[in-house]
Amino acid sequence: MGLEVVDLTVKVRDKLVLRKVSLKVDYGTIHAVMGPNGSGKSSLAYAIMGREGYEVVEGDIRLDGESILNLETHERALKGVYIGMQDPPVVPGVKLSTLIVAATNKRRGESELTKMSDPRLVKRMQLVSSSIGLNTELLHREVNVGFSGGERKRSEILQAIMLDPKIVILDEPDSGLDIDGIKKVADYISDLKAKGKAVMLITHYARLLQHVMPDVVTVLIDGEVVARGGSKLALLVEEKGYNEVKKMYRG
Amino acid sequence: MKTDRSTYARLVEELPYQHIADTPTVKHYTDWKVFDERLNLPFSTEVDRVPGVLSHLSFNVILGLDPVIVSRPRGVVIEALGGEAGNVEPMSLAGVHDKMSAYHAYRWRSGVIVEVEEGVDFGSMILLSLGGDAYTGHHIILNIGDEARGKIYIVDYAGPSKGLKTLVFEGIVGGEADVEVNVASLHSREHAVYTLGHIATGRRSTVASKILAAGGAMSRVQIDYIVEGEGAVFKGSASSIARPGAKMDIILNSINKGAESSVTLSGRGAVLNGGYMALRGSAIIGREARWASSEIELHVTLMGEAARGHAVPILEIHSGDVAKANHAAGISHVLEEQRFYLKSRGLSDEEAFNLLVSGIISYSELADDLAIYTLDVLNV
Repeated sequence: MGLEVVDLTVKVRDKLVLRKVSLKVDYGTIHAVMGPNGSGKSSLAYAIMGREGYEVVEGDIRLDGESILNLETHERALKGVYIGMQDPPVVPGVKLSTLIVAATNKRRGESELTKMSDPRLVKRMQLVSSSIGLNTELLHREVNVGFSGGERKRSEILQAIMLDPKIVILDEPDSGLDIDGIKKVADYISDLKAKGKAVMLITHYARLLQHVMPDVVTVLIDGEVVARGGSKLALLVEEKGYNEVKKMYRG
Repeated sequence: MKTDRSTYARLVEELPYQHIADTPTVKHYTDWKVFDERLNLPFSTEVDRVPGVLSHLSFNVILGLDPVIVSRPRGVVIEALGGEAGNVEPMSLAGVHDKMSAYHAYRWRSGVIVEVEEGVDFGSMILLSLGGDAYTGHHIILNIGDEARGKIYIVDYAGPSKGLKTLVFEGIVGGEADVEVNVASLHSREHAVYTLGHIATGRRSTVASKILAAGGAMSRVQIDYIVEGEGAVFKGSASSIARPGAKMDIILNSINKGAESSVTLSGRGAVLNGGYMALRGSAIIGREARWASSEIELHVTLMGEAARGHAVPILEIHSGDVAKANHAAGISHVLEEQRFYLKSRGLSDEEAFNLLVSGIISYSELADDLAIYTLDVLNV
């Protein structure tokens, strides 16, 4: 069980961005979704999260066997689906720590979302921040305002750790990171797998996959699944390129 | 020498609301008509009650029709000012250069002078200025001695009547003092309020100022920070919210005059549907302020299609040697991307909206200091 996408066709405005996409992300596994720019990788993540404007034309998205298609974005999040965005937006006025407190309080059923009801939460935020190489001062800054690319990625991972979701979708978590940063992200992803989470790892290049061994690799081109295989598929993509892989699998 | 009030009455007639257009494209950020329509209001006969949102606070001074001095912290002398022909010599620092400051000088009746002795740690004190059913004018003078320490909170409240209030505070902070001068301007949407502050800081002093503003029918809140002393450090931060029907012009100005002085000013504004806000500020590094630094950063978030706003920072450098000078401004609608982001963390649309608003309200941290629940500010 875990996340299941079944024959999913999605359009944004009048353009089809996903065509009959199916994939499964089981608990305790890493499923890498690869593809060139504009192939529909981020659209897949947004459709799973129920983002406005991503209209499901047909197909289904299931969490533990139950459709989540009719749930709003926040309801999907509360069911345990998390997205670490490729380019998360700035949120002026809202401190990173306040967002984490509010999201945590929401999950705990607290009535006042921004009230710090558990002092241990702050300590944990600081510990986790340090462990993933995020300066703890950023906790007191507005979300993503003035953050570097790497800091934004680490902030997304910090939130994923703090919110403890069942399904973790990470959209290009390695972009903007140096090699040490990539290794830390890779360690974190491996740790998620070890903890039994279902990880959907969206990536453009195979460089992150040199540090994380995916269980399944799906290649998307023009919104369609063109290839699927084990971790060796990622190496093949790196060696041959997307078009060549498409020819090899599709003929 | 005392100036006769009739002199100010003449100036009210003669002076314009402002001498030049604010910018080439926007003539007035303040809707002066709202003030103009209320200049002939009689003096208030009743002042506002302390609202629930502030009822938990212990005030040292309450300015209503008359000044009421409730308590004086140790090392602090507070005396009443005002009366029709009393000890009146306002605007000693800020000057009278425009119609509204002349109007205030002519009509204000209730005020206090606060003298903090040298070296005293006075803890904190809260001065409350209440609006009334017609015109109310209050004046506060702060003289803070060298090496004094503590926090001053000026709570500028105007209740639900179609009144007019002017509040002017002017202060001098002594050398090596370490103080906060914080201002909460909470105005109902019916009141028009003109608030003018002028704080001069001494040599090697450290001054912070937190601002929290919720606008009224027209709230013009201008605070000028004159960082005079060598090595003086000033840090200001502002949170402001324009609710539906409210109009606000928030102006935070700083002038570095001391060598190696430092200014950091930042402001956040939220404009709800049907509200208007100009969030402005000038960071000026004076000719004599060698190796000074000044940074100003303002951002206004429009939270509906019918929200209007401006964010206007100005940077002027007159010194040949500058350590650091930055200015930045942003204005944006709440984007679908931001809403999606917050919702993807588990917050509903309403919760995401409230988080954005309360985040901006709590930005300056003054709401926390005064233990005001951020969303209560919306209901002032």
